[in-house]
Amino acid sequence: MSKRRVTLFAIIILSFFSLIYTPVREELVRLVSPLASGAFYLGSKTAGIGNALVNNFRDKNALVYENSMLRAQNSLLQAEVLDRSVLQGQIAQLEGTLGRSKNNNLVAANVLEGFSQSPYDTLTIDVGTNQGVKNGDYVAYGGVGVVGFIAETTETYSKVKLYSSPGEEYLVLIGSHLIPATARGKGDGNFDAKVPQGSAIVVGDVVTVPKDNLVLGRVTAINQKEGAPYATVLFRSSFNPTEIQTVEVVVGTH
Amino acid sequence: MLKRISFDVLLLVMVLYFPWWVAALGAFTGAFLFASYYEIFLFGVLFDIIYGVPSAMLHGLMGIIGATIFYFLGSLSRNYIRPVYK
Repeated sequence: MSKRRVTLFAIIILSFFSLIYTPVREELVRLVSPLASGAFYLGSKTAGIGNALVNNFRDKNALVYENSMLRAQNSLLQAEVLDRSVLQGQIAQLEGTLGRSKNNNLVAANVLEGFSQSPYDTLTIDVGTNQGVKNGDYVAYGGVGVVGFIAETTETYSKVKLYSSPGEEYLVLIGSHLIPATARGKGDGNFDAKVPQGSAIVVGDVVTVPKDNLVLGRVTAINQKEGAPYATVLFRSSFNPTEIQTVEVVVGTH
Repeated sequence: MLKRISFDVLLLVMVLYFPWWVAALGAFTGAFLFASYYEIFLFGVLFDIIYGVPSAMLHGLMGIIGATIFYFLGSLSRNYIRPVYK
């Protein structure tokens, strides 16, 4: 075997080893994370400057129209948040009475790179063990909807694996009757779950994760065949995973 | 040599700031243009370190697996289509 081939195979084997052997991988992640965080921060600042420059050339009327649309949408969202805050207060009061107070230790984090950047359905966020984040902690969006969990963490940054990652399976509760089911990730914020035929589930029902009642999504369709023992429930996240800019890590839920 | 270094810097930018399929195209292009483009394995490892997790698809090894495939495909394509670019 020629020297070149030996070199090639040695490089390939070494590369795989560095990723498969956990201690080496963890050390590499620890070394690369500050550089990657810095690079992503620089990238976001550059993109911000670029957007500001481009906006100078946009049609003024289009900007005015977009501004009015966004203001209207903002008012609607504020009303919805107010309504939800009132309900949350009532729920917290009831849970306190029943002796089931939640752990609301939330750590806010910025998304450094979104899930469209890689084929892994992961997010990179700018908090880590320095902020008390540990592997397995839930990651929420808007304080209510759950996005995924911490899959890998260093001192300053962490990787969030989305629940909708293809092949992932989780126990969920569907609808007002809290029907248990195993949800499977289909990618891009989509899930499916099998429930017994005739279950009291309708389109629009909320799907939650058992712990802390965090919302995973809403039912979008129910596929059932006559005579089949199971129906397939399709549901998706209430938000677009590609638009997530900030998340909250629910520390202590691992 | 300068062309190779410049391309490596460009590929690093693709890995950090562009969608994964842009980086994949860039990696294949590098393997096609340059002989013994071993840097592709470094970028594959870097990609998996930055974005991958062990519990993800293919145990978080998509970057290095893709780098290996692109290296061999690029080398074969280069040998059959064009002279070696040193």
